Amino acid sequence: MIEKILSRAAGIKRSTADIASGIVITILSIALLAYGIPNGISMGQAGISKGANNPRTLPYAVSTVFLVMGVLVLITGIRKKISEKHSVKAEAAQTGENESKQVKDEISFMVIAFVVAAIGIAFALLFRTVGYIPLNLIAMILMYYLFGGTKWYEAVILAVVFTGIMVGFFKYYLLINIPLGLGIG
Amino acid sequence: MTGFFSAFSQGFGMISWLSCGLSVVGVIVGIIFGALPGLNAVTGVSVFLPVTFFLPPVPSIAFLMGLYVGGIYGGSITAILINTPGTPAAAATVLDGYQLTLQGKSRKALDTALYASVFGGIVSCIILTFCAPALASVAIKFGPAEYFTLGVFGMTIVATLTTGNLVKGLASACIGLFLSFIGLDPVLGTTRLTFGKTELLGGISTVPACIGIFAMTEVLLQAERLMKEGKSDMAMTAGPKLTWREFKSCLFSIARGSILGTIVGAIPATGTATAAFVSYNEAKRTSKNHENFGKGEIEGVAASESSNNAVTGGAFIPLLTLGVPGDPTTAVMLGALMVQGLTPGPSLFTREAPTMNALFISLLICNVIMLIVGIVGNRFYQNIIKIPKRILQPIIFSLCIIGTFAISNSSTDVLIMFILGILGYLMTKFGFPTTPIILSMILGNMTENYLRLGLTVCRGNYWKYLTNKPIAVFFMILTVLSLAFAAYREIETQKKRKTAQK
Repeated sequence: MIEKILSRAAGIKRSTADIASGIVITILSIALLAYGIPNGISMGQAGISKGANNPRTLPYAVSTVFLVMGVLVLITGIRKKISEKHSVKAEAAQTGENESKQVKDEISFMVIAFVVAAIGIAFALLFRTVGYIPLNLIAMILMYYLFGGTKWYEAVILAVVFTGIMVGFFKYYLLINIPLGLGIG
Repeated sequence: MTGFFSAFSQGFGMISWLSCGLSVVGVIVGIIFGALPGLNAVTGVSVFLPVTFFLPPVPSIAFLMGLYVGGIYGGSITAILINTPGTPAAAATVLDGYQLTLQGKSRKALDTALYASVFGGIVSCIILTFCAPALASVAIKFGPAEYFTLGVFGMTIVATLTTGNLVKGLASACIGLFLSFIGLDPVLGTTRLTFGKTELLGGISTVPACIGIFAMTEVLLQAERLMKEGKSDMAMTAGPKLTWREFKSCLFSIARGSILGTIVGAIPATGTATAAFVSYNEAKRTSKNHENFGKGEIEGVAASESSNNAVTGGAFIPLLTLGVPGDPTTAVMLGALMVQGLTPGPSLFTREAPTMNALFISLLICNVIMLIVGIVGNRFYQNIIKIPKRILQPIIFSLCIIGTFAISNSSTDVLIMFILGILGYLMTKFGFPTTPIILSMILGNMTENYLRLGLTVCRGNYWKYLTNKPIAVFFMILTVLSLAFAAYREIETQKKRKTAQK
């Protein structure tokens, strides 16, 4: 399933990406209209929030526009798909193998971006408990290697020096209350 | 008139070497604050405010003015070089600035941003000196109807930003509006889309969103690109300087951006980002090279930068004439003025005429200093893109985290920044423009607040309420014209596309 979704996003066929994004937007907007807004936005006191001036009016209006846009993206995708059909059929015999390899490659390329994002999300979730210094040291070293670095000493120097500068500037100069970790503060 | 010139020469006499020296320090520190994600002119002015308590009035305000103009300009440097707008004001600069960097023309973009910023700053300063009371009288007429129609007019920029891709642009704008709904209801104070999370009560602020959508998305795209191309250090060049001919071609956009920025700045609580987007929109709408906007057009950089720096002079107009700060930075400066015994208001211009003129001259000097610092600095800033990616990307990644955290000491903001980074990345992969998210987040709050306030004031009969206000009618006409023009451009683009396909 994930592989399928990612392959849609890989940009190999714009029509497929449009159909996929159209479906996502449509489902999302229906979910907002049916569940998100009624359950996520309280109406407050009935007297004040009468008529158009209530907290749900604009979110409902925006969700409706979002739904329309989702359907339009979907229709555009389907139309593109139909017009592509002939050329795709003609090319399929020649490029069938290459295309499936291309899809797999694209997915592996996207995986690296999700690894970077996962490091960031882990950083955000552990920020308060583990602290900035250890997390930043680890994250910078990992990022160094993910971006093609090979020398361990360069990674360590980069992480230590930059973390030091950031702590000095933000914590001790601007007096921002950053949880440093390592029992420092 | 003789009295004005006499007060002006007296004001000039109040400018000391201390004022000039502090202006230099202010501009340099301001540029650093503006360039760092998460820090901005407001932070700079707030951090250094206590220093001014021990200084005479003119040098202290000159120092803060230096921080202010430097802070607004500084945001453009990282926006152009690493796709990371240091401040929301530079969000419009990213659109063409970073594209120019990718094309190896970062020096041209940096030069354009500098000259346009200085031009905008000086024009706004001149308008402040000569037209402050007249503009203030218009600005004070802005009520809910005027703010609402201004917001709606601003929203039409989405149509211009996404020519040829309007449906996806509008879908992105809807996402931005939904992000702006999160938090407390502006009128009733009830919770909206927080789902019990207290961290979301304050809503999603624009800075983490900007950092996530622009900077983090770019980090993720760079990681993917690196895997695809299999090499870590693609050489990027800064390219040649901006030529006089190129600058001349942007001059009209710069002049218009400067005037628009001053006007928008004079309207309290509209902000530098709004000014930059409005100016960008106008430049794209009228430019001969409109098809090149968003793909690396120096006129786009010129329009947004002249406008956001012109806000500096504009924001002083309501502050000095009415005592109403035009933006958060001038709100902090209001405190500085009061500490120095300068209580803003209409009588300030008669009571303290020489001091006022000294302040105007200081603002002018700050812009000239910014030009000198920028000319020297651009030689060094351009080297940022020559840093190997294995070093630069971890630094950007880390800077995004600490910068986002520093805004309100919140790790939730950091999490939001990463989530929006992933969203931006996926949207880019699916061919959706991401700038409308930021634009609608910036304008969404303002537009909704004033719509709801207006509805409360007029008890539901909003159309009658709007049409009774000449300024609101003016903005409504502008909105209709802007939409009609965008529709015309969209049809033209589709026609061209079809012809090209045939």
